[in-house]
This record gives sequence, C-alpha cells and structure tokens, in this order.
Amino acid sequence: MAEGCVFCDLIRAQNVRKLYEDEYCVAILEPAPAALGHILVMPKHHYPIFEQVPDFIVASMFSAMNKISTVLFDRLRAHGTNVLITNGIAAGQEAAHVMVNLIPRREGDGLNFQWQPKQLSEEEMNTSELQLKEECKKIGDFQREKAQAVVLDQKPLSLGAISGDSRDGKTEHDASQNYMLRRLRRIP
Amino acid sequence: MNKAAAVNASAAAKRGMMAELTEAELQNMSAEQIAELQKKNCVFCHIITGRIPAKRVFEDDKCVAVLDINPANPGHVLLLPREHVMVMPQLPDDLVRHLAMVTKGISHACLRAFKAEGTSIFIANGGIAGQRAPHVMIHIIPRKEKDGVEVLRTPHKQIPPEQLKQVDDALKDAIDTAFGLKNPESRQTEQEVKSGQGHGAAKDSASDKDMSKGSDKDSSKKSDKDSVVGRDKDSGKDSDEINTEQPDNAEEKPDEGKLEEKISGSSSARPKSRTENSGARDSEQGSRSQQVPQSSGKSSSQNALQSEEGSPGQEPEHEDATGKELSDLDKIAGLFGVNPFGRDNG
Repeated sequence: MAEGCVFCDLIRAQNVRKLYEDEYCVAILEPAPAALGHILVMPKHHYPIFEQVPDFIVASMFSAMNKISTVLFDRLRAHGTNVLITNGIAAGQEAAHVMVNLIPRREGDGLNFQWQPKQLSEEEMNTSELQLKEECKKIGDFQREKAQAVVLDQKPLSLGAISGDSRDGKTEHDASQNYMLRRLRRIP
Repeated sequence: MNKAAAVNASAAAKRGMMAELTEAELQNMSAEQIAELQKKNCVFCHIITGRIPAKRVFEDDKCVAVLDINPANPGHVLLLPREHVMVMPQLPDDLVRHLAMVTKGISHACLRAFKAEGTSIFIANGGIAGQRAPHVMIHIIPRKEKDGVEVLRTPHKQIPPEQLKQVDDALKDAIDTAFGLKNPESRQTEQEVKSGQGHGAAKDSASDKDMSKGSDKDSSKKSDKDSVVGRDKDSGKDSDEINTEQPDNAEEKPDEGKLEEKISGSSSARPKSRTENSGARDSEQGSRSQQVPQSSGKSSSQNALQSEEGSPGQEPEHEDATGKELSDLDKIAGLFGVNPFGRDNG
C-alpha cells in the first residue's frame, strides 16, 4: 500500500463497491469509463508497472478478468470485449498502479483501438526476432503462490523443515544443493 | 435426435464461412469434424504447427509467441494458445493463467530487448472489438514516447453517477453468480425454508419484478438525455427477464431446483471458508508484522549461520539478479515522477 495512490485508497475504501475481490486482486467499475461497463482489475497491493507484479497475481488477475468478461457478454449484451493494459507512461498509463482495463464493445460505440501497421524491412524483423528470442529464454519457472508462501512464511523454520517438505520443489532443490555443497566442503 | 439437430444447426451456422464445401457434405459432418475443419482453415493454427513460416520468439507446450508481420511497433509479439479457440472466454482457466504469466514474461523481455519505455498489452474478443482472425491472441507491443501507437489508450467519458450505480448493481449480482459466490436461487430457497412452505418463492419473484421495474422506470426517465442510456435501459430489461425467468423454472421443476440448490450450497460454502481463511491469514500476517523485530533478528542470525555453513554461492547471486531487474523496472516506474500517484485528467 503506497501512500497517496488513488487506487490503493479506492481499494481500501469501505464505501466503494467491489465487483469482485479475492486474496490478490480487486475489480471495480471505472469511474470515468471508455464505455458503460468498463471494469478495472487491479492487484490489491501497490505495483506501479506490470512486470513488478508477481506471476501468480498476474495469473489470478487474468483469470478473474476472463470470468468477468463472460458476465459482460451475458448481462450487458456486449458484442465483444477489449482487454488493454497500458504499461508505463510511454504506453499511456495514467496512474502508478497496475490495472487491466476490460472494456465491453458494442456497435457504434465510437471506440477505436486499431493501430496503423508499420512496414519493417526483413532485416529489421530478423534483428528484433533475434533480440527478443534471446530475452525470452528467461521465461518459464513461474513464481507459484505456494512457493511464495513457503518462502515468506517458513523462512525462520526452514532449516528443520526443508528435508521433509515435498510441497515446494524449489526449496527441496536448494536443500539438496546445500547438502551437496556441505559434503563437498567436508571432503578436503 | 437432439444430437443430429445440433449438428445441423451448427452446420447451418458455418455454411457462410466454408463456401468451397457443399451443403450436403457439411450436413453429414459431426461437430468434431467441423471443429477440425475450422482448425484447418485457421492461419494461426498453421503458424503454430509450423506449416506457415513465422518468426517464433518463444514456445512451450501450451502456447507459441511469434512476431506480428504487420507490427504496430518493431518487436510486436502475438502470443497464441496452441488450442484453437475463437475468443478468450472460451479458454480453460488454467490456460488463461499460464498465458497471463507468459505475457508478463514476454512483456519484460520486450522491455529488456528493445530498451522500451513501456508495453501495451491488448486483447480483442469479437470482430467488433477489432479481432481479425478466429484464434485468440494476445498482442504485446513495446512502446516508446510518441511512437504513433497512441490509439492504444483508454478514453474517459463522464457518466452520471446514478447510471454507473445501475450498471454496478446489475454486474455485481451477475459476477457473484459467475464466481459461485452467490446463486440467485439459493436466496429464494433460504426464504422457502424460513416460511416452511413454497410461497416464499412466489413472493420473492414478485418483489424482484417490482424492483426491476422500478429501476427500469428510473432509467427511462434519465434516458431522454443520452443515447448511451437507452442501451442501459435495454440491459435493465434483460435483467428483468432474467429475474422473472428463474423463479418460474424453480416452480415448474422443483427437483432440479433442489439439485441446483445443493450445488449452489456447496459452491457458496467454499468461497466463504476461503474468505475466512484469508481473513485468518491476514490476521496472521498482522501478528507476524508485529513480531517483525524478533523474527528479523532470528533470520539474520540464521543467515549468518548459513553463510558459516557454506552455502553462500546461490542466494546472493539470486538477489543480485532480481535486484538488477527491479532497478530497470524502477526506472520505468519512476517516470511517474512529478505527480507520481495522481491521475492527469487532461
């Protein structure tokens, strides 16, 4: 919870009705909507940009967003929906709190999200492919909520509990490495 | 019989799309075959299987990310689930969760690879929302100041608060039902139990009707000003229909109602216990945060122990890596600078 964040205040406020709320995220109606039924799905805790949000919170935000979008189709008779995350000031993010915009679409609503495609040369495409491919190798091994909970909550107890704890693969891995290292240390 | 009818109906629906097949052929196809046919005609399924060449930047067992051939910006990525699905709401929940995490990963990769100042993440569901191909995709577009992709921002309209409240009311109920937090029929059955007889349901439905009619009238009063309000009035009518339909069903088929009550009972019980748990967890966390001085003392002593034991290799490295990443991100987050948490209304 950051001091002075409008959306943190909104999330904490008692008189604001949350359309949906769980451990990690909250959905509210955007007070100044792009279209009627414009919903914001936000993490409960304060993260200025998308990449700072832990993986499992991103996952639960998307999951909530997707379920809510079915309601927009059913209840508001939306003909389509747009999901937009503006991430960073350059992308048009207005407040320093991550949010997923869920916008119901109808015929003639005057909204337009159609960008003008750019023509890139083959060479430019190849260089961006190579650059991105290299960075994308780091994807995978997502933070799971259980792992996170274990790391945070059980750290003071972890030394004793590590060997018997099979819930969390990562700690087990660490433990075996520690064990190996210890053995190695002892050999000389 | 029913199955055949369903197949015919779906075949009729697809007739427009598949011009090269005769009607008779289509009518003889099963639903699975039609799904197969759709998959055959989907360009993005071909990209996923590799029959159409594309610049792949990431792939795993559930999804593939390729570069868009008509990019909004250099490095514009399309993230595609391997499964052929038209719109996002049809995706299973675990796949949505996986896609979300991969999206975050690719967005982060875009920031690093192109020194981008931000990313736009965009999903269009339905042709009217700008979807062009019948395959779910997530656009991830690296952004820089004044790059000409300014359409991807959220406009703001001023909407009277009463109207917002109406939408809020209509959605709150529906969303609670969708998440299994509440079932409209469970409320009735509770009342039935209280009154001991079946009259409760009828009364409830009557009051529901009255209420929704009232709101409908309200909305019609306001609708004179704005055309958008007219649509809202429609949605009000929809809710009216929904409210009146459900009690009827409950009266006609009591057995089904009971079954649903059971289901809803079990499903509504779960979230309750979950919220209790989270409450308990919150309080735990609270107590933990109160104990911080002690525990931090302990953990620091443990850290000292660990370093003595000789596992200094991994942890510091790990911390360094995350620290570096965060500092990059902090730069972007820090751009909010002057008025960091305010929202510019201009």
